[in-house]
Amino acid sequence: MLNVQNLEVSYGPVAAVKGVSFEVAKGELVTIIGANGAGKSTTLNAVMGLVAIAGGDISLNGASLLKVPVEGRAGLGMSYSPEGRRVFKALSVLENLKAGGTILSRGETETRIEAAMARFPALRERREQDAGTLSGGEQQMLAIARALMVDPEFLILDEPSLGLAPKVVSQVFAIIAELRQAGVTILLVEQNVHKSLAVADRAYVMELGRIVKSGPAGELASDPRIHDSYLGSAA
Amino acid sequence: MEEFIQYLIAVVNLGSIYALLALGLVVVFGQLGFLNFAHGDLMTLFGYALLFQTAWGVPFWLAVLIAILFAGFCAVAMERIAFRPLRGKSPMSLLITSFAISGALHVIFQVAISPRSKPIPIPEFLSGYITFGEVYIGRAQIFTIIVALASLLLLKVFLTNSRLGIALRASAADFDVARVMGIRANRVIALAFFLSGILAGIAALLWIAQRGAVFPTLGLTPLIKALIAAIIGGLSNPKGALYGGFFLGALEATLLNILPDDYVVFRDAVVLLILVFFLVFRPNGIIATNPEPMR
Repeated sequence: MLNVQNLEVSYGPVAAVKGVSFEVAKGELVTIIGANGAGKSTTLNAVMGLVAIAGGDISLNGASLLKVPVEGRAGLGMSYSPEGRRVFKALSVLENLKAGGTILSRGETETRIEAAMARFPALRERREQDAGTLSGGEQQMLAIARALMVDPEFLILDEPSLGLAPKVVSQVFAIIAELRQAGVTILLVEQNVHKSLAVADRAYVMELGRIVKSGPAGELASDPRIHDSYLGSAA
Repeated sequence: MEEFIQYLIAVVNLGSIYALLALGLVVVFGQLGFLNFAHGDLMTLFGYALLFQTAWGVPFWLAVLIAILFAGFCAVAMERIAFRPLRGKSPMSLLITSFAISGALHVIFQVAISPRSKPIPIPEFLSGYITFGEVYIGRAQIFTIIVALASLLLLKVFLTNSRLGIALRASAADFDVARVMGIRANRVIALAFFLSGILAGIAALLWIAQRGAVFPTLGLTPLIKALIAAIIGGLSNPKGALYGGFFLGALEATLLNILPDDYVVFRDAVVLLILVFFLVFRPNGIIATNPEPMR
């Protein structure tokens, strides 16, 4: 489904992503793990077209995305829940969901909003409330619900559990597992390595802009080096 | 009591014009993160469009409608010609470009039309007063209040109920995330400029209705008022422009009432002092939903 080849991204003279290659097959949940500043979020931003790439290729279902503008990606079945949630704070919950359904018809938008409210009952209660007034957990639910408005084939989640209470983190991962079961292809970047390896099929480990290891998530979870570097405190 | 009613009318009259002006600045700031200093010139363009049409015998209200649309399209043209090639550059480049556009337009108006003030024939019913007991209200003031409040209401309905309005606000809140949702950048930015032009046109109509003339720097004073209102209210949210506009209106009307006649000349100085107070102590304005500049 998604194929990234020799991706390079630089911020001025600083190379943030150095020749990264990975793929995500249809129906898979793939996670990229790594320390802060490893280039994970930059990689996701490059896949979504939000940063200019210095080299390499990104393709979805065999077609290159390099010429597709950011706003064209939703129409290809891609959706993205960014790091830090980035809900539209001055817009109500309902308006956030409507914005998420920009490419849909009015009827489809209404149907998808109903589906989102059914999946996240807390959002129904707060539908008229400004998103900025929601708790961190609720904002995260809204960010995921907004990304799900287009019923994506391919969902990118960037740090969905960052800064959330442990109970809410478990809820977020339960939703991710549920989406995986429903057949949504997911690319997940997470600091919570323990939980992300538990839900993922495969994983890539990034260090200083390079992929240094990859394999089935279960195998990596039991890799002593990964265990020592990333799972020490969580396991 | 009569004085209070008159004061209240002055507040709503000034406040609603300032709110319209500030909103025009804020809708563009929301998208591109810069204050368009050529916004006042859109008002002047409206004025000249109205002037020429009335001279050619176009009925006044049809001329007004055409001139408002003309201001809207001029704003879109401004974006297409001057600001789009600079997309992605720092807001400072866009700001300086807007100074350049404004300067160029002033010269064009002076050379191609006239450096002098040109009277615009205002319909009879907008001049004179209506009296309610001891209360005198200018007809132009009543017209201003009705048109401005109706425009603000329509704008609110558009921004909250239409898909385009929601797209505009979403993209003002977070441009990149809005694009990810499929909101088209070019379309939404063009829409923001069109709206700002329409708002400038309506504000110009109200401004001219109370003054009856157009001249090359007509837009300068209203632009400064708009800047003050937008900064006081907060640049990140249309609500801020609304609050800032009415706050400035109330402030000016109050100063006019409380300052002794000899000190009325210091009104603008007091307003600017309060602006400085906001810049120091509340730089994000009354409404600060998004303290980070967009881009």
